[in-house]
Amino acid sequence: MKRKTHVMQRGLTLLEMMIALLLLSMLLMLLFGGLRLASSSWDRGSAFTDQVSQMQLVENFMRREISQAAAYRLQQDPQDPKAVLLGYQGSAKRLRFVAPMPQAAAKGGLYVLTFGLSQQEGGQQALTLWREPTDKAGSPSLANPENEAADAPVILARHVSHLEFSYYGVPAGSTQPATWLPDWPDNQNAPQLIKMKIAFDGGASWPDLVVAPRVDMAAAANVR
Amino acid sequence: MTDNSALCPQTRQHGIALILVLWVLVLLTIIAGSFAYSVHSSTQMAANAIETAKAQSLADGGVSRGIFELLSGQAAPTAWKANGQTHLMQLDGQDIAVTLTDESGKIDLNGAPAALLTSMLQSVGVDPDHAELLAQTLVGWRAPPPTGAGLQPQLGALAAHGPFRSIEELQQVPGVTPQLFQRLAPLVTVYTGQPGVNTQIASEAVLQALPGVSPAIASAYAQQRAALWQTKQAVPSLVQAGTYNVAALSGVVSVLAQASLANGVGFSREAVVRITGQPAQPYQILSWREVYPAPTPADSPG
Repeated sequence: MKRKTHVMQRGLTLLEMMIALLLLSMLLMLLFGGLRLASSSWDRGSAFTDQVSQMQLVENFMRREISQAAAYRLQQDPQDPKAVLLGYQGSAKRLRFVAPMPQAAAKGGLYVLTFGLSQQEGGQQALTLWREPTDKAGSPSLANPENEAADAPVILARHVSHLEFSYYGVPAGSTQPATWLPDWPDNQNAPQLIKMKIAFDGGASWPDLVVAPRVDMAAAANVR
Repeated sequence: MTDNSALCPQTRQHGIALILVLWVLVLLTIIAGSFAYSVHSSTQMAANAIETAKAQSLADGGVSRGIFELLSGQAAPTAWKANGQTHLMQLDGQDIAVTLTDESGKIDLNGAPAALLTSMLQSVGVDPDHAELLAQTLVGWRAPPPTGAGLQPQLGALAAHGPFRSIEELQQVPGVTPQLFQRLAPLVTVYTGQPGVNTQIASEAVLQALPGVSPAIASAYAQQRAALWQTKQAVPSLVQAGTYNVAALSGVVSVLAQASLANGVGFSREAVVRITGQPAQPYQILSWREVYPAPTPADSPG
């Protein structure tokens, strides 16, 4: 037997072959299953961390801008301070105020900022920031923030399914106790709290953003 | 068969399964490693965000304490005076530095005459010719805008915009670069309307910006003043400031609170507060902003 080793290459039987193939295919299945699982969890994990860091960026930015809002009177009508003072103007869909922008994001100075939803291609909606330098500001309405002098709108978050602002406080002329309101018509006084709820296509949502404005709009505008 | 194959020259072919497994293991290790890395960095980001939020709350607490000190009567010997001195306080075991400065210790963008603006611009490193031009630009900018809803064509780019309403507006003036603005921001205010500054409380940088006051005079006066503050004595005005000296306090106070945590995370909040003296609303917040670290001296001015 030993002598014939090199000469007599005995073939594998069909059964041995099949068992070998079966074992190998099971092994491969396990290996690629594991690989696919790993890569898909990697994808999902990094998508999640991306989403969280984007949320942090956007919420930090909005928090800072909303709390730093400045009282500002547009040039057009210096005779009528009540009509042109831009404090916080808010509806359930949009929030508008004047605030300084960081120099990294703009050329610096005061901007009229409007946060709201815009329609994007494919029928999806995006949380968008419209900004215009106050020295060039026309007076675009809250419903239609686009202005020729405005800088290009900035998209802060895509695939938004629901966006809602609400305002806590007592607007001037109201006799109701402080409560959450869907609109803030009083641009002379700031609400005590501003809240933003946002939800995304696919059911995800961010924690509510709640900011307490500190600036006394009427006092700041009537400084001189 | 096994006996045979062990001696067969094609033995290495039988390691195919092992090699496959090893390769996949390497791949999995790389995937797991990079995933762990990205999770680690996002955990660090979250930890950083928590620390920043903590520092922010501490700084806001410092501002509230500053306002409380302002309201609790400036006459008491222990009261924090709005004279630009920094007070250290502890909150939750963390140090917060609170500086109260009456805005009359700064140069008012709307009230200051062109000569004072020119001297201020020179003191932050703008060359004399340029400084004079820029001061004229500022004077032109703050002039009242033409009535009639701006229908008249403006001559040149230098439009009149009316008084400055916030110091941020300075950045929109042609010729004011971001670097220059960062240098000017601590020196200027829009809340007093005064033609000069109160030298008794003005910072050394503001004193240097006055016409006729050299850095040496400013620093000698600041040292003398600090010694008088130590012994609670009255401080005389700086004589060299001449007509640019204003004795009155404005009652509008800038409250700067700087919180820094042990791990290097910090946050600075500056609020401008007007003390009204009315019991219904004893103070009004006029401005509320985050202060970024000052530029390093290496940055060249505009």
